[in-house]
Amino acid sequence: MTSRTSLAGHPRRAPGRRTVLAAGLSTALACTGLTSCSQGASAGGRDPDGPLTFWSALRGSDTLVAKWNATHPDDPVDYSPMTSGLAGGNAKISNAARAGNAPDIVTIVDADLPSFAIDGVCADLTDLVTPRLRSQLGPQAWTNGRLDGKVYGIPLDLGPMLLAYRADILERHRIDVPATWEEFREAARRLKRESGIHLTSFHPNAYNVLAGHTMQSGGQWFAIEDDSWVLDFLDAPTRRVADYWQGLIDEDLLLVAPGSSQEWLSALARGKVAAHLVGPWGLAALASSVPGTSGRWRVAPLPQWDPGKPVLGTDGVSLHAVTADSPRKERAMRFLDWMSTTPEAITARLSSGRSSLFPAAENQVRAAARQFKTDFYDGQDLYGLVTEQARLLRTGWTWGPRMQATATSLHNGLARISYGTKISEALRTAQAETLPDMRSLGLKVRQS
Amino acid sequence: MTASSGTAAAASTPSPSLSPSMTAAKSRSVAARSPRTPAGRPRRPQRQAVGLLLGPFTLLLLAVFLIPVLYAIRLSFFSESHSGLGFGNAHTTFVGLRNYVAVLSDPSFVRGVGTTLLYALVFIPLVLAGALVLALLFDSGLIRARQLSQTVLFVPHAVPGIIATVIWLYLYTPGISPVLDVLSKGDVEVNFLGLQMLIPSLVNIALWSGLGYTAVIFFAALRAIPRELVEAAQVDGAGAVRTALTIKVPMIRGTLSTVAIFTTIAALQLFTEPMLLSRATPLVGPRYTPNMYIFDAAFTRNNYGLASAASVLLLLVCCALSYMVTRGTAARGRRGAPVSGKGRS
Repeated sequence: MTSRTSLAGHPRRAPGRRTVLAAGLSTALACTGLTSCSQGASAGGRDPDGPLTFWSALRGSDTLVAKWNATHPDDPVDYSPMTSGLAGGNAKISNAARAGNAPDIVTIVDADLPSFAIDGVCADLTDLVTPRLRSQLGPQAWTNGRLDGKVYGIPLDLGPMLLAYRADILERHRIDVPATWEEFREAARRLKRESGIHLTSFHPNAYNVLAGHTMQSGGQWFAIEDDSWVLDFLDAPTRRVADYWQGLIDEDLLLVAPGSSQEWLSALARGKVAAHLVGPWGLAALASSVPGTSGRWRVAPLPQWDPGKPVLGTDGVSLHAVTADSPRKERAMRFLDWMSTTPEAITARLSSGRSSLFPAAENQVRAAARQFKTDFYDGQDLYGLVTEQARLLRTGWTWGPRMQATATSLHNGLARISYGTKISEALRTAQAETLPDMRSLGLKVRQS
Repeated sequence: MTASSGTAAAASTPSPSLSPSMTAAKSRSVAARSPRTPAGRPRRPQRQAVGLLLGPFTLLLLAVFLIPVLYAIRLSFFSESHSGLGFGNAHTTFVGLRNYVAVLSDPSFVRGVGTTLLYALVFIPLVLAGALVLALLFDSGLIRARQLSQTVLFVPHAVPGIIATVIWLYLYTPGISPVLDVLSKGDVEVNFLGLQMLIPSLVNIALWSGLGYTAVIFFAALRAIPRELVEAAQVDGAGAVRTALTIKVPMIRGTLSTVAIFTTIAALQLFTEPMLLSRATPLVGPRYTPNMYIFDAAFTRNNYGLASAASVLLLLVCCALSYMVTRGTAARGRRGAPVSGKGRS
């Protein structure tokens, strides 16, 4: 693949130094994926009775698999860690599937499901989902694993967006925790005026957060109508979200800095940013990122547009997909069933105590809550709060068929915000850059 | 089909309109270049030698250029296709110009072409003019310790592009760069990774690695100019600058245009430097240049048809450019200096 593409770009018989290196680089990149794939899958191979192979970038997968192997010695699982999707994991899965040595099970992010389903990497699991499994995970969970009425991924967790905030800073400035976006803006204005502190930050590299806000407001970037994809990155609800956040940025009420950047983390640590909007998984991440502020944070429900009709968007949840070529689909489903619905599985997964993942299955919640110490949030009952919030999750959101590409387009546009680009312009560009790709795949697509 | 063979053909074409001074150079270069009988046809053992010498080249050309190109062209027309929503119905089929339409209607590709052209517009004149001035200075003997300065200038070329970019990235990144540190002490704030500085930063890296190399090529071409000519000019009262501009530069015009075309093609294939910069700043997206677009289409979007179509388009542009410059050089070659040089291949 590599040589083909890079060579096609060379019109000269002797490629230049730069292009040779470019080819070398891409070969190196591709090889990393391929070689590690073959290693991971070689244990299982095509033998239907061989051990299940499982790749995951999710924290705690090692302890989870260890628990399964201890309790199911006759049905071993062979686990290999993987880098997360955008950091190369997605490419690794695609390459392995193309080479015919993908593992039986992979962990993927909800946003990448359509891409893998279209490429034929994920098997259609609709008929393999037992009624018990179906009822254990609610509609809010299944909306993430279903596409066009078929199940391609088994949901693991739920990701209602939350408002983590510095209770001490808000108290000092006598600011109430905002319950609506209007109050949120007022709080941001007051805080900035009185202390120069930014209420929260805007991450130009977090399409998932922008998408989460869009879900809450009722927008729909990708819709499926009959046999066609319908794209609208600037429908009225999205425009409302874009204008709202643009307004906050224009008033200089937010710290514009990439998520996980040094700039942002140092602002958090120094108390220059007083809140963080994130899904449940991000609460543990926040605690380990700024340990010096422990005990001063609390978590509140995300503000609403209309408190009378509360609804929430999702921020990044995980799914488990069984690969299309796997000869061990039934066994894989038994493992996934155990993983997603038994308390012992979630206990094993979260035993490190460093994860605040919120399981989709209700009977796993109490076990999960026991594993995560909430000292950082002054002992607040986080799982109780998230249980309530998860009921408000919106259903019916669909991600696009090339979400990673759409996301990088969007990130590229949002990166120019400090140079005057508007959020709405970045959205419009991302849509324009998503369409040609879909058309060239032969998909039926239109803009509404 | 290559620029150098075109130049060689032009050089060996007899021309009645050659000026006397040019004829000397012309016959010299023809003698040096073509081991042929007076009749112009190779004898039998020579034919074998031709086969032996050209065989490996032809084989390699076939294996690493022509076959991949044909494969890319095929891929761009026959690609994996879906219908409707695309779930589980992929099949490989003839898709006509669909991939080409998609590439050309993709704003990110068009923007990438624009970025590359802007880069080329800044970089090429700078590297050509800079290298020419350096070469003329070397040739005029104005620079002392010529060997040493030439080596120093040439060394960056030996540093692989990836390493060079990493070095510069280190110098560009606020917080770790000693250069920015010194600048900020003098109250000068420069963000080399800011939006307006991206192209200058890229040009700077390319200049650093390419200037010395190009200067050495020009210098080699200048050395090939017959000394009598330069002396004759000096006897006629031409100063160093006048000699350089009216004698030396026109004499190496062939080398200039050959190097220009190689530099242009290298510029159009800009990849390594922005690819690494994209890890340092989100302003450089994954589709920043056409080559990066191809890489992204193939390896992020898993869309080989799209990647192939973009590759073929880039190839066509490069071929067209080579052809234009080769023709231009050939035309000038008949009128003027036939000195050809090796390009930056």
